[in-house]
Amino acid sequence: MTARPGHQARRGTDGGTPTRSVPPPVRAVISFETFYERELRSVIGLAYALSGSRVLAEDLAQDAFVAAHKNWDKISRYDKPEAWVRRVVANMSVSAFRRKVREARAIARFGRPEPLIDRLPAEADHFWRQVRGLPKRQAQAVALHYLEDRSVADIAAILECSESTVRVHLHKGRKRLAERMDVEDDA
Amino acid sequence: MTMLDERARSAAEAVHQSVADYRPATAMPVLVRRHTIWQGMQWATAGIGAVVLIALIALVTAPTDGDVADTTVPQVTTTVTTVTPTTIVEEQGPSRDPVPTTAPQVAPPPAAEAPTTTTVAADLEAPLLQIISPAPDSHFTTSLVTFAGRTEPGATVIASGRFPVTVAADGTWSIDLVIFSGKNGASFAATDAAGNTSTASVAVWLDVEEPKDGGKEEPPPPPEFTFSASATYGSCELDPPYDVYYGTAKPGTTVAVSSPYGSGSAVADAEGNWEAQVFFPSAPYNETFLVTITEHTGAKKKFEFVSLVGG
Repeated sequence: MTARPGHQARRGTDGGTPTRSVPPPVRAVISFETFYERELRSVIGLAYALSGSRVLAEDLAQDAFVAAHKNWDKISRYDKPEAWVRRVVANMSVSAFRRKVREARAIARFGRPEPLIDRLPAEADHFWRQVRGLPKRQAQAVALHYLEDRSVADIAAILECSESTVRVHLHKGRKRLAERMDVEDDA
Repeated sequence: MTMLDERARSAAEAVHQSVADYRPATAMPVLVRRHTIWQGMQWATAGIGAVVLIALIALVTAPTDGDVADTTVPQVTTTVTTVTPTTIVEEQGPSRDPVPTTAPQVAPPPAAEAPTTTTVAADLEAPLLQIISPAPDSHFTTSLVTFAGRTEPGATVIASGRFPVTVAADGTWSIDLVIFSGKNGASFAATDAAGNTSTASVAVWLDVEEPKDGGKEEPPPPPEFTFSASATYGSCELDPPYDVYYGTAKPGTTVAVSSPYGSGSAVADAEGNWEAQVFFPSAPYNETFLVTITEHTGAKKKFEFVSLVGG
């Protein structure tokens, strides 16, 4: 039997609990700059989708990476340091009050009217606005699922919850999105 | 793919494109922006300093009888309507410079006849801005570099056009920046209270060791048929609900999937891949249960599943 093509990308994201003692794989601890350059754009994209602000997205991503850098000795040894930085950004992005405060700070800090991120087309902007209208956890799960094509196991690791919880968030989030956008979702 | 999925993929692609050309600043401040309280303390310190400075200048420039007008640096003369404490020297006020002993003593005119004019020394001079360290074209092997320098006390300094730099009361400043491999240009701009600006920049290098073997990657290790298992998403709300499990195992061996509400099995192919679709027709709504995957050696992996059918 051959695995489905789509599985290849997800292979290695075991979410199960191994009961056999297997030595951990050798894994290189990457440098912060490598991590930063590799993840920056994706993290900014996540922040942009969840916050709706281009200025704020840069600010949030930068703060998350600054925090990661300060604790890089520890975070670099995590199995998924990228999950850590995404959790920070996802949590900061969806807080409405803190979002506005941070946006004001970001604008003052950058002091320039035009962010470095391109503006979204109207249709895409409308979609992410609907996502942001979802409950916090649903919005995070949906954004990670669609934006980064993350598996349930990955999303669970990022949001620090069980896979079944992620499934419920995704199910309810997608259902609500379909209703709001008046489109079908039979999956 | 549903219509919602299509819209979502399109929206996701739009986000990817919006950040595709995003180029981070040459250098990224790392440690300068510490806690918000710390920033608040900076502002508070600056505010207190400004108040003390204004009070001192007001004290020094207060008019007293018998003083001689300071006419040594008149540049702009105007009637006082607003006061800029740091640049005003009143004609009838004391001079901060010692009065020459040869200068004639001028009797102060009667107060009623005294013109209310002042001499304002406009600050048109750009502030000092020096980069003390690192030296130009310095080479580093770590990405975190501290840039330090000196500017006019009270001036603000911005790094790379966007990152505020901490300036001490004596005008010294420093900021930690992350540099990237190769040549980096760090630019700084200082602005004084009058709005005059100075700029300075320095080039530094981050030296990164070339990978061994001329950059050739090591050949991938031979495939190992390590047992692994993963689950997919997208089927918990279909009736009957199901999940697809997949992974790797020793070729030709059987992998069993079992749970209280459904079971299945698969045989690993010649490449060691296996896949099993398992239905859970009697699974209760929204109750998580475990699905156990067992390989031929007895090794197990467990996954949670929840049915969302019938809710």
